[in-house]
Amino acid sequence: MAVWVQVKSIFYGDEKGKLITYFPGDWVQVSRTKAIYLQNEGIAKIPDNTIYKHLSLKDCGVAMIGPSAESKSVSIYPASLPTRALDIPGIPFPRTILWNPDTPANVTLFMAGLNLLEKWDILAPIKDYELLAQDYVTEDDREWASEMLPDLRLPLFNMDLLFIKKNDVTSHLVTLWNEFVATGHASDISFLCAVYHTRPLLLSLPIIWTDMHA
Amino acid sequence: MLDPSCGIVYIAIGEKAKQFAERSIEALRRCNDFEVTIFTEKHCDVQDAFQTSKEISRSLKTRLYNLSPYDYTLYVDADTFPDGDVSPGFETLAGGWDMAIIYSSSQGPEMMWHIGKTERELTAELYGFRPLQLQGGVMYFKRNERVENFFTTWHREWLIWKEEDQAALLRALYKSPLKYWMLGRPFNGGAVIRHTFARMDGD
Repeated sequence: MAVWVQVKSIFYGDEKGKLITYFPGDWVQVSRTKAIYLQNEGIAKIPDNTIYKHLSLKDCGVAMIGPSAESKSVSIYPASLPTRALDIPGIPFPRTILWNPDTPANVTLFMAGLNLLEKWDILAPIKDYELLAQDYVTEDDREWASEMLPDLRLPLFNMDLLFIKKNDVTSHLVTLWNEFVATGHASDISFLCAVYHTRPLLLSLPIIWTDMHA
Repeated sequence: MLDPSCGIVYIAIGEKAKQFAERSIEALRRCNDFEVTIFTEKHCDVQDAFQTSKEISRSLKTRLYNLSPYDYTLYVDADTFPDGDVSPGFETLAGGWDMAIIYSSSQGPEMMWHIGKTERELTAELYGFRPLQLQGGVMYFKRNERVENFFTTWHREWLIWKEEDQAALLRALYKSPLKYWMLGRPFNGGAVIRHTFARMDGD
């Protein structure tokens, strides 16, 4: 069984025959045996999710969305979370991880994300550090988005992995997001506009949450 | 608040920083007419025995909430060149956000490279992962309880190591969350506000 480890010193891994250099702080998925070896050698550490033992997981769950969505439990050692497959974005659990399973995500970080929902309404990874909303927005959406936002020179969020605490603000946000999409606007720019107009406590995450090699 | 005051604040400690600030204001004036306030050594809290210009500058920066005379403030480092229209950040505050800030170009392994190892590691440990590094060299903020709490925490966190302010900013965000809107790099290191990241430690 593969597990995620966090690299403590420079480590060279192999991915499909290609040499990859991992730097301290990077995450890499290895076999359990290799994980134990790397930890014993001081090269990497296996995350200790027991530090989140105060976190009650009974109100947490994963809402799967996208073509590969299916209802099966997701293991986030030391627990597993119930899942629900959705056709459109929603918040079926008081603390929901909205995830498109076609997007790789480091499930080892899920506990940390759920823990942060104690203080934040929503956690969202940045989609790209270089390309901005003005680069992604379609010509059809550009005028609408320019009216909805003060400026388009801002990053988009990656909606394939969101941590959402269910409350009035986030419920309104998801409703608006779905309404914008239903009227023909692209999902990414619709999400950004919905966030801007509902003003949740949103913690931006680095893109590594959905791109392990970023 | 019918007509909030908007203004830009600089911190310039030492002659070199003052020269940078003057050049920055010259650039700002080409397409902005907001009021400007510069904080210098004379605004330093005499009860704090700060010794270096860098320490004075970071101390003032993390106390800007109390120092700024404006309802809506844009703080810019003295080594920036605001070549473009900076008003979108003020519009964001008027739209209900507490703060507008920009992420750093240093992320991943380079994140907080300029912060001491212990402080860097303890900051990441607080979150449980390496958080998105934000750049404190350009930021818009307004007046409300959340922002006041944030600055109080930021200053307290900075006082622990008294070095750079970015890791302290991330810890403050963790401990005193606020509604911040993320702007893109053009606002800190791009077409709207260039950032030279010059060293201004020396007097």
